[in-house]
Amino acid sequence: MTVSVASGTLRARGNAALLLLARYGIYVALVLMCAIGALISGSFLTITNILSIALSVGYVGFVAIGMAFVVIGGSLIDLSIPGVIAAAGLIALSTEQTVGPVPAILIAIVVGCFVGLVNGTAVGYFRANAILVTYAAQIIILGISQAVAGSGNIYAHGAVFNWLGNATIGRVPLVLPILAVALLVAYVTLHRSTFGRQVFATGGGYQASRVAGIPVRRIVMTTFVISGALAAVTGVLMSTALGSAQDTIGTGYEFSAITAVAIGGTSLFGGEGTIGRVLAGVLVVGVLDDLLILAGVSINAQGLVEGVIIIGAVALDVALRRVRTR
Amino acid sequence: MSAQRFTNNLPARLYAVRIYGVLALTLVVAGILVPSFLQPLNLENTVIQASPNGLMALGETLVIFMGCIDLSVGSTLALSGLVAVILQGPLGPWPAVLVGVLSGTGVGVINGLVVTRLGVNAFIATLGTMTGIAGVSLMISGGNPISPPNIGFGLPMNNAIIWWLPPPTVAFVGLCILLHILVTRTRVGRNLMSVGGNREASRRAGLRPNAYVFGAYVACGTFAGLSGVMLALSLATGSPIIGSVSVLPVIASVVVGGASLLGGAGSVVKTGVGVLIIGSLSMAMDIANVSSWDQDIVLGGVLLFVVLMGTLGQGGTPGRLRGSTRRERRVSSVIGEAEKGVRLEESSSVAALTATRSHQEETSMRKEEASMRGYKITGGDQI
Repeated sequence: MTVSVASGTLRARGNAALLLLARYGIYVALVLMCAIGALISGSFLTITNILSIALSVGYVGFVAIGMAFVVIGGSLIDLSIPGVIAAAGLIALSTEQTVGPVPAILIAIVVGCFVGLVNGTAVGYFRANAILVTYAAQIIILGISQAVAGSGNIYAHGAVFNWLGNATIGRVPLVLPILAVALLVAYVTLHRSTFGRQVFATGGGYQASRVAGIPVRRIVMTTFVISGALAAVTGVLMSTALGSAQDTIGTGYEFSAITAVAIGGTSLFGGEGTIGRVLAGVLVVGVLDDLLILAGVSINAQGLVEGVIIIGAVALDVALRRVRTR
Repeated sequence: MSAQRFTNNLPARLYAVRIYGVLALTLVVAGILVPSFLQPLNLENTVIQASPNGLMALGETLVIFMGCIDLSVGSTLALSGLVAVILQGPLGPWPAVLVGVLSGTGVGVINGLVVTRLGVNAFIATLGTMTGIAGVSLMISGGNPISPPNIGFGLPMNNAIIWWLPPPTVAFVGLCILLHILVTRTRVGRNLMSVGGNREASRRAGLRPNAYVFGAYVACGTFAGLSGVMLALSLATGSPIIGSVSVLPVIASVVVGGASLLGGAGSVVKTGVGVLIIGSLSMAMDIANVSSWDQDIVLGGVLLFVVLMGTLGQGGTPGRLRGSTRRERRVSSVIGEAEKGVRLEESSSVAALTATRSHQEETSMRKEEASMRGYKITGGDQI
């Protein structure tokens, strides 16, 4: 009797430790990686390097927030992101001369929302496979962008876009404060609002949520609209910073985003995850890429490392989940 | 009596073979829009050019039968071709071919282990291997296309061996028929489909679902390896990026062929027809000088259309909630008594469980109900 009680508490304590690891492991990993970086290279902790990491992950950050909504809502992934990024950049830069900078940005974001709306309607209302629908959407939008833009680039001309692309606060590029605001808004939306609770509920148990009266189909649709809007914002910011828009600027961002989200311990089954851990996941990927470069790993090997890491992160999540539910 | 039964079922029977109608329609429409497409030589070339993707689609079909997905086929294609080309000098041509194909098998083994042993979601797992294997290909090739030392060795790959069919096409057609027989006429095939249709029920009926999932991935990797080796030999080039555009047409072919992404339903031969449909579209657009991005729009549109049609066919129509049909309500009430439901499924024979729409609905209903009750049906089956 006492033995079983003791082993029970032991197990409970073990589970609590695992729970802590699942919840905060990503932050530990981040700190450890920074420590390793500081040890192996003197240039890791310089402001220049930190800013370069921050800038390289800045754009992934926006996309990852949107992806987190989709994943937590239970729809696994939004593959249309590269298409939306490219289309938004092309639209913003090509319409700026005729309609002015602010309307141009708004048009780009509306288009992003529209793509999200189409994806979300197909997935939420028609219960279509999210992977294939958003993949088809990516192909179609990219195709349209390429057909419209041709093979050339579209360059930014207006003063506002040039300013937006190069603006800094001190040495900090304007993108980072905008990302901070986006993170804050996402945090409040996801963790402090009724809508956020409904997203978690829908992802955690679709049928139960539906029975409980949550408008599950609308929630799923809205998560895709959020993802589309944030991808459009990313596209506008990227193309203004580059000074030109092309059809390929978004390539790979959907994978970076899902990697960051998965590494951050957001369950790919839906219904679990936090904005803080998504941010940590984004940073871990950024710091890792930086470490690989500093350590002199060839660019060709980075795909291998990233592939291993995403599988490892998800396998760990699954293993922890099994222990917890046992 | 039998004639009457035939006419009774006529709409259903016609619906079941609609894929051939779609192929005919594709050919007619393509022939009207691009008249030169229907010349015999172009049709032959359509089949020949579709063969590498067709081989990959056959393997992908098995994986999709299991309710999983394999995104790594394109990377595997590139890797196996590179291996066969690079090892040709040190090992000699034939051993290099073997190692090349086996490298594809190896990727399949990794995918299978990650999905079944580690329980990683199939989409994410193969996304990881897709990125990882592409990295390996870039590493071993240095990022450049590589020519084999013995260029002449692979060139017979382009010559007809049976009728006008070159070896890759013979392999595609032959394996398509063999796999179809395997799936429809053997016990292994029946078990495969039943595991794909309802994993938990198959497990309770005494099958080992993970073995079938693993086998499907290994077969898929091997097929991609075979395809990659043949393609590299016929082109006399191993390229690290050759497969990067293959995933879309491959998965589109399988889905157009009617295989359900939920698993347990579909037909290998129909995947073959799907390959021909997608191949005809590409060929007709190539002849008409349609730009590659416009081709992408068309392919993406076809994929979207088919996915949405498939979803509508499965009863996911807007305005009608799941669980509102009589069968779904019955299923729901069966699940309501969770243990009873399990026992009920246990008692039904495996053969009766093969792959029908209702079982897919049942599977997904069961999963949802299960998650509602706070326990998970584990396994990498969450696609």
